[in-house]
Amino acid sequence: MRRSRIYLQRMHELSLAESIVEIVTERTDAARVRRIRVEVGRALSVVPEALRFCFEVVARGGPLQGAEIEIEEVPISGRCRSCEWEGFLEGFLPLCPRCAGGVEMVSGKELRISEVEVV
Amino acid sequence: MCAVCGCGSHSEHSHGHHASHSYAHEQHEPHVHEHREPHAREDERAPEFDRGEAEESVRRMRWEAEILSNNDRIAQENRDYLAGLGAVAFNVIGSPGSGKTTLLEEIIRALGREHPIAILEGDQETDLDAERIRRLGVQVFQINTGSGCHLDARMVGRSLPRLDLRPGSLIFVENVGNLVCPALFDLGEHAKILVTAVTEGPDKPLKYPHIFREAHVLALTKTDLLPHLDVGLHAYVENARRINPHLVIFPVSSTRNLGMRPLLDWIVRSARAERVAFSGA
Repeated sequence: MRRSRIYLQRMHELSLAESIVEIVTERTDAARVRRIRVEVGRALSVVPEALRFCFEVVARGGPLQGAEIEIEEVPISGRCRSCEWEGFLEGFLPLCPRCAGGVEMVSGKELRISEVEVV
Repeated sequence: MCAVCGCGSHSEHSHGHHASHSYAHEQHEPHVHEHREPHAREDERAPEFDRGEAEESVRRMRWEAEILSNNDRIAQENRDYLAGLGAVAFNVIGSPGSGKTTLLEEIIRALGREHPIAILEGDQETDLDAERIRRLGVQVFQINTGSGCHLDARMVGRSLPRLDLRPGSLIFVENVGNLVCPALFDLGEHAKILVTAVTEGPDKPLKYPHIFREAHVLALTKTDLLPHLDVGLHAYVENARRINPHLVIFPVSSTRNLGMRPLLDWIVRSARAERVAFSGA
């Protein structure tokens, strides 16, 4: 017999949502979690809306159901290896806007749970 | 009561907020009293509720929990497991059709006699790639991810014991064809080999910067087709280097066996360096 199959194209946001649920459930009395704040670096191609959607799907039916997920996008910033420039980068190119030197990325790769609110 | 730590009192106390957080404590005026115990970083104590308060008591906990910490921990276990056996793994990442399997076939033909090689094949469905590899007489284990768009450390960790590994083994993990998701997941590899075909166009690094940033090596495949394209090799190299100045780039044609030697040498040398680093032998 052909099994019907829920077709949810898996995306990396789904794995991330599963990790979030796993970590928060492990460390709290999950039923009382009201809000989870996560920091997501802009350099990672993680789509906040997709992450939010996946979180709701993964949390459904479990103790974290109904918890709100708040996503803080962290802009890409860097420090120039040649001149003293430090600041935010437009787009993904790690090039210094002042001297076109190589830029070391300081922020933009965050992927962490920064705050959890329980009642 | 305090909305941050849930202490039942109205004291003035610090929670070490970092400046980037913009929310404010909305509930109360500054107040004075002392905590009996110092706060732990993750305050797990049950809050003392103000019984008379109508509002729900809320406790905020500041965390620094890496979302990928579980994956990264298992990846490190994989790395240790391989180091213990004297084996070295490479994570092979690229779009569908970029030539990952064909490149691996060439690597096996060239190195298979002198080096024990094992392949982990990640695909959403079928074992067609595994079949191709098996024909060359090397060990291959197929991981079907189903709807999964990438391999993670756990899948690889479960599969490694299925391979007969020995000192000097080279393991190539062929990731699911995808340039976005695999970039996030450490598998326990020694290096990420990114495979991009010249036919994909020179703008790939700009469109998928994260994987180009994470990769150690770029195998730029299908160079035999360059005469049919209206851009030269330099356009690919330039864009890749703009994203990642440290990327080691090998232009190759697997089917014509062009430019393979430098890539093969790099694989053998870096695997040897990795083993020396671990065992001193």
